[in-house]
Amino acid sequence: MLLVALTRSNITAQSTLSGYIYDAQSSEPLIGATVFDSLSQTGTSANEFGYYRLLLKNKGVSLQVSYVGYQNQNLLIPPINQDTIINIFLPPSVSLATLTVVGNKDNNIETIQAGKVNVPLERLKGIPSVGGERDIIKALAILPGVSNGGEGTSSLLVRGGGQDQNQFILDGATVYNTGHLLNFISVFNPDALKKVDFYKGGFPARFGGRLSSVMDVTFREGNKQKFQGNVDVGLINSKLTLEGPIGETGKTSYLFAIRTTYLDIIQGLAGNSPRAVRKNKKETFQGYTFFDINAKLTHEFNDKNKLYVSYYEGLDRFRLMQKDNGRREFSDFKNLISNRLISARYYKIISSNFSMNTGINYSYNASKNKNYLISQYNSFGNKPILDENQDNRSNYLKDIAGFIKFDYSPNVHHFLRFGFEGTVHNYQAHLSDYSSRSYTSDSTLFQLNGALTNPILRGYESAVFVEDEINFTKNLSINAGVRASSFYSDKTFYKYIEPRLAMRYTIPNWFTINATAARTVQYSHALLSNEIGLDKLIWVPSLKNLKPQTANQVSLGIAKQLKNWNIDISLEGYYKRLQNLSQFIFYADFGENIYQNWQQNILKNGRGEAYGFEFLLNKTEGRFNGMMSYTLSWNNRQFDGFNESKVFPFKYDRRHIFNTYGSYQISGKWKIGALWTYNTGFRLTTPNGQLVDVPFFENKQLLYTKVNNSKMPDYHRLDLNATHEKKLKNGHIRSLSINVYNAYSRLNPIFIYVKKGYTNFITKEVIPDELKSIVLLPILPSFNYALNF
Amino acid sequence: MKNIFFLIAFLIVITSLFTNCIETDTDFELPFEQTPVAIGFLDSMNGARVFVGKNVAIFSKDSSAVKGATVSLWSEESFIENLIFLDKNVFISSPNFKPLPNKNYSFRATVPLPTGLGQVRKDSLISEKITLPTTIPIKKAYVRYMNQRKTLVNIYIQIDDPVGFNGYSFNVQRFKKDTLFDDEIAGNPLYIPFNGILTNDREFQGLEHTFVFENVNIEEFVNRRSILMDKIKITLFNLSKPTYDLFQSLRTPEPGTGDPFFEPTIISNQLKNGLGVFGTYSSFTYELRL
Repeated sequence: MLLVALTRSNITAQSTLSGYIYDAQSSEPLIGATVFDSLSQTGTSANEFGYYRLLLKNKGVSLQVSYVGYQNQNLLIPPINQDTIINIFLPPSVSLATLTVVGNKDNNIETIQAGKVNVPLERLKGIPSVGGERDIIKALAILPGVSNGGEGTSSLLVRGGGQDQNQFILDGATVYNTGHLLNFISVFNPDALKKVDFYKGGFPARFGGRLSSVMDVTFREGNKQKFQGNVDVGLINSKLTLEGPIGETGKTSYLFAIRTTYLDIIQGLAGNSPRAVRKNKKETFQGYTFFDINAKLTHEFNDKNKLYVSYYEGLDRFRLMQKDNGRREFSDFKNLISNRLISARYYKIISSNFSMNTGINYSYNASKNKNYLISQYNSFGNKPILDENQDNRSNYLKDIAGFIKFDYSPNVHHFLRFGFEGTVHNYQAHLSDYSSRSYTSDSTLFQLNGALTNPILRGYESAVFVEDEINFTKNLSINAGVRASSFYSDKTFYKYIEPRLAMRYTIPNWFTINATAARTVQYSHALLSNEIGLDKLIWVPSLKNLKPQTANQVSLGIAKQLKNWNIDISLEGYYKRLQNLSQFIFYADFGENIYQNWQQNILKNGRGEAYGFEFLLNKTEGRFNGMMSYTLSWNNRQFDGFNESKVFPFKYDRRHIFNTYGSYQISGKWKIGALWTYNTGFRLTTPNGQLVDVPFFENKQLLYTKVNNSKMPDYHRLDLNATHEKKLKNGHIRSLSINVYNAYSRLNPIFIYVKKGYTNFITKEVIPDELKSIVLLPILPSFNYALNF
Repeated sequence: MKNIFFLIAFLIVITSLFTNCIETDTDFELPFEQTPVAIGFLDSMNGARVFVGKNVAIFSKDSSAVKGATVSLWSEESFIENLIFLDKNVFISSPNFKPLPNKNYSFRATVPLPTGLGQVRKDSLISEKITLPTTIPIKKAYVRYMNQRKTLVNIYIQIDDPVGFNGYSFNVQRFKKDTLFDDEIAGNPLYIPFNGILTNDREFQGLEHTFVFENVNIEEFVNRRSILMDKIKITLFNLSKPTYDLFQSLRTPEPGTGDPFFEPTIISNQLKNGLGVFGTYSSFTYELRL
């Protein structure tokens, strides 16, 4: 079925074929759908609003229109000599079996374009995941050059960059916190996503503000034709998605998705609860809860004017309660992370070859810790003294941003993008209040209350950019651009020119050469700290004494399509230099001082160097599809005055990373998948001795003499999943999937440490020092039940 | 439907068993290479103190002290004196020795290296030049009472920060006339300003600056009786960069605090043939009557 709406527009000297590409059932735009004219051998893809534009050399065109998960369509257009608008409606693949197609040849061309990866969301269904929750960030982490920070986490490390150097954009607004549940699950609800573009190097000039990668995520707009819903019940969390038209004209649609977890309840069933700790039935309770809401409202004034309002709200709560009668201590730690995004965008097609996208957005990310500790070590007379301490700490970052961007195609060889964007950042690195009290049953011996507040630091970031996608021939294309960015904070004005270049050249019937070169600048520094195992990013601005981070990177690769086998192969090398890096001197939580006086507790002007080779083999069509990726990499850092100013390996200096993933459609209903991953263990700093009986220092003093001098055991695991889908009599699709994370229960330690001995207060038993490892996730089976209605 | 229910129940139970992390023993091998260690201090108040020893493996019960070590004190290339063995492998200078600011000194320590049975003893010579930083006087110090009972005070300490790096450490002691409160600095050759407030002048380089100690409690309970202190003795230490770095790195929390994600800071090492630091600092004492 193909629905075509043909409209004549003003006659111009140059003929342009343009319009939107829609889902035929829901009228949602298909972002990234490809349009290819086989007569002129030119093609294009729909932009983030589903709008495509093709400038014609010949009078007639033979269009091939395709999109992942949809039926390809051919369209023969008679000769035209004026600008023409054709809206194309693609029908989805009907049968369940066709879900095996997670890409097509045209998209594969895109995937081998230098630096850019178009993530086929359909593939997510086949990738095994933690707790059965499909996760876009974990799917990215199986690509070469990309890895996760730690066990099961949704933090990304791209080509030697840090986890703060990736820009996550959700409908135009920047997302600062990307993980739920201690980062095990990304904040991107897969049911609400329409399109994910990922740039791991050489990203175009329209993107900026981060050094290493860009993940550009677009929400779905919702079904414009009928009400539709999806319920997905999983072991860790459940989701509800509702969407549909507002009014009868089909001009306005909404999408609403909510996701929440109930791990607390599950743990309660197993006897783990705060109540159990209070009643001395358990020594420790760890509780996790989160929820998020995605909402989007789209209004189409007409084909040339559209308005989009998007909203995201997420909250995470982690609680760690411990009672140690041996040490006579009780502690209760709570961590709250909240995220809020609001964006409003207006898209206008000014003429057939000129369009505008403008908008404003708001982004808020906050972290709050509440800590309570009560202990009893001493006594006053015969009465025990209770020491009670409470402290609350928080930090946040609030952004208000605006932008205006234009697309312009003067002729078939050039596609220009230019625009301006500005952001006001409000950084609050530390807010706290505390109270401390020592008391007996009848008197207070000591009491102290106070509050500490850092001033809010403002940063004004702005950038203008221009980029040109130049198609010299059908075999040679270049995206060349420049970004002029600036930042004002602390009475200091920084400005940088960031040139960008990406080139692709195809040697006919042989292979494609990809090359990129880019300079990137990051004005916001994220200081990574750790509190009871929780990575905490505190965002701070560049200041007079803290220069913006910069990176220069180049990459060169070759790629080839084996069309008979539906396989893409690519090999790429990269080199990246990082400058003005910063980090806390101490990684672990060091009390109040480290945050309040963060400027005195950081290393700055650091340098980094990363290089490596990446190999990818990717099969995207057929009953069996999958990929195999391998990365060989080196990653070093250096700070003056730290580690004797010597170069040391970065924590995630992983020499080898190998991932292989396969998915097989057994029948129209059953699909199975497996993922095996292997990483060289990450680096850690271990003591290489200790000082004992040195009178200047009490007790023992561990000696740490080299940064990241040890390597964790290699990491590997196998994940499996099986999905059964069935179309019910009422037309709804029911899906049941079973996931097994870490199927052979490899005990991958996430940390090794010296557990210091102590003397039990009651039994007087002496517990000696021990070397311990922490394993977070052994085998983890889970299931999901989903119903599309 | 019944089967699905049982499957769900089974998986919930299985999963709940694995939602807590596991702490296990590990056969991970910690790196260890025995190294001579020397940690020495030269300060304007107490002269020179040097500990000489070795590092020991993490699970060893050995002491870091080694027998047969010697330490001498030099000025440029001129010998001043051999330091006196005190206790626990700490060597101190004679009472007559008073170091001068901005003058170059050096410690020379010989540390016996571990040898096998029947092997000839070898010594490691550790030597490093050091300079005593200038004493920085407290221009003015005063308090403000922060509660009605006058048991909490804010203490304000004003200084002129000299140009160049200066690390600061403080010792604030509270006294009451006619009561027994020992001075922990005076007459204590093993005292180093390691446990007090530690900061540096990065944010007020070369400027006048006021340090503030908030909500200092001047109330003590002795035999259930509340005693309000009437004298505050403030000692300001001006630390050389190696001393500051050493204190900073040694003061990170140890893994024994129970945080398995503890990531340590590297000990700032200044020595070539061994591990350690020869640090210097000067001190200035100011008394405040309340």
